Amino acid sequence: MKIILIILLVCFYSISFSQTISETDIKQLATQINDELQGMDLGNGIAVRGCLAFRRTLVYQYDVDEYWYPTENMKEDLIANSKEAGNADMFFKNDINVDFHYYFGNKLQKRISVKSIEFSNLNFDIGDYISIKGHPKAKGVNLKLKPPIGWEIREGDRPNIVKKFVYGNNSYGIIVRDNITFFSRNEVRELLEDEDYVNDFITDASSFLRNPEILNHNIVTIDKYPTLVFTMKGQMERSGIKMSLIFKNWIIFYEDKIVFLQCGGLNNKEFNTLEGLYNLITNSVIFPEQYN
Amino acid sequence: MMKKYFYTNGKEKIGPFSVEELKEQNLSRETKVWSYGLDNWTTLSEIEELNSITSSIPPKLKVSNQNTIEPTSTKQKINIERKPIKTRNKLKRVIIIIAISILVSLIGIVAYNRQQENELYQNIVDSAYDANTDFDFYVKKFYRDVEVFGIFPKKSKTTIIKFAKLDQLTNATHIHGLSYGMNDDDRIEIYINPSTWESSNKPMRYYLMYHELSHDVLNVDDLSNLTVNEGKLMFPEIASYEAKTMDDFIESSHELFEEVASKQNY
Repeated sequence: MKIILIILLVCFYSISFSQTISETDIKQLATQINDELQGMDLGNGIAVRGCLAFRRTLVYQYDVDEYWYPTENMKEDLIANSKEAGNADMFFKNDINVDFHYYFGNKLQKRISVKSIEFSNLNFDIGDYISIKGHPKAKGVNLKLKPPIGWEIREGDRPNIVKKFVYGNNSYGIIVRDNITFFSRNEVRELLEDEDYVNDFITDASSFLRNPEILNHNIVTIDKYPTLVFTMKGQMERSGIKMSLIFKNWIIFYEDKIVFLQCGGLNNKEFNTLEGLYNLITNSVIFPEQYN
Repeated sequence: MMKKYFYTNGKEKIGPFSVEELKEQNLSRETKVWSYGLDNWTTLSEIEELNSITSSIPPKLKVSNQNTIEPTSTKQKINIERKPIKTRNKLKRVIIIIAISILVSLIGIVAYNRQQENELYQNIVDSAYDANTDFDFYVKKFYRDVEVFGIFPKKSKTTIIKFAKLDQLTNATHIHGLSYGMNDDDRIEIYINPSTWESSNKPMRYYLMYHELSHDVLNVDDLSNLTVNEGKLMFPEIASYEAKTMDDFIESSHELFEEVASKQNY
């Protein structure tokens, strides 16, 4: 099975990694694979019948002999081999699903479907609670939340960043800033009913991006505290490299502090995939002092 | 020759009058009258020849004053003894004595209270000690918050905020904090009961500090101990605030600051 993946890799080098490829590109990729691999004997009674594309799914078709039988963990093996070979990341980032069809004659012996997200190395689980209580940058805010498993937990490198969870180009940061005075939760709710105030706040918060675009905003509640949530995207330049970034922000008005939970990274498929994880982390937030 | 009469009003001799003229005068039955032939001033009702006048004057219903008029033979000297005037003077003296006594008592009470207060203050100062709590944290926030409401009190030159053993004071109920810098804009002087502090949660500590700082910096008095004031920052019985939340504290402090800002009489 490994040999199949190694062969496939040869074909994928021609694909741009910088952005999500189109369905037409996937069709071209299928044609290219077909030209390269059709009829190839992969051993163990398996030969490549061909490859085709259906929307965003690549379908590999194989002919197997009468002695072939599927292994018990065939799907997991295919994914693991794909990760080992290094192309799983490309499937994931370009939102390409992959089907493997095994035929004996005209009869489909086995079909295995792997969604693009299943090729991801990302972990979508959250771990045990950590607290920022007593942290020198927390400014007295007592907050607990569950970090994502497998992400690196770093100290913030800027004055107001308390902690950061980092995985590749993705991060989830806890930022605490001083507010001008105390606000009760009722006062914040009233404040957030003022659309002008909300728009000004979002504009100010997105000003570090070039050409910022607010994709959505809403008022929610996090552990009984009224919260402004919005998603923004825009460009940023670092050391001459221009990047397209996307962030989701939760702005929690806590007593006389503003807690920013800011997550995101490069504007690609990863953000959409990770948004659920970001939501999980944020939903785990607890302000314990209110229960004392 | 027609007989002429004189009468006296107690100060001078008035006359002479004929009987007819005497009738026109405003006499009473007790009016002293004299005419030639009489040795002394004689009460009108005792002179028979003037009965016609006496009978035309109604008797007094109640007689409380008695005056004695004794004319001398050579010089008309009138000695008038006024008993009511003596009584009034006595009354005046009594009133003055009572007033002085009350005044002296009040001064004594004030002096005693002041002495007690001084002793209390000295006891508190003697028992005070620096806390390992950063009270300046609350002072900075207090100034920040009142300024948001447009209140800009003079920044104190001296700030003394210490723990003091307020539990050990005699003749006092449990005191959580005391402010001694009221009406002195150059000075913040607050003493906090350490046992209260240790047993208080975060909202209660904010309530206590902002309560004392409102006395000290904004010169605001306690509210009366009425149910209607319960929950407000300047309610004197904040021991009952143990169940209050930070939201309660925030809204009660904002209510006070809005009130002070509207008066701007700090």
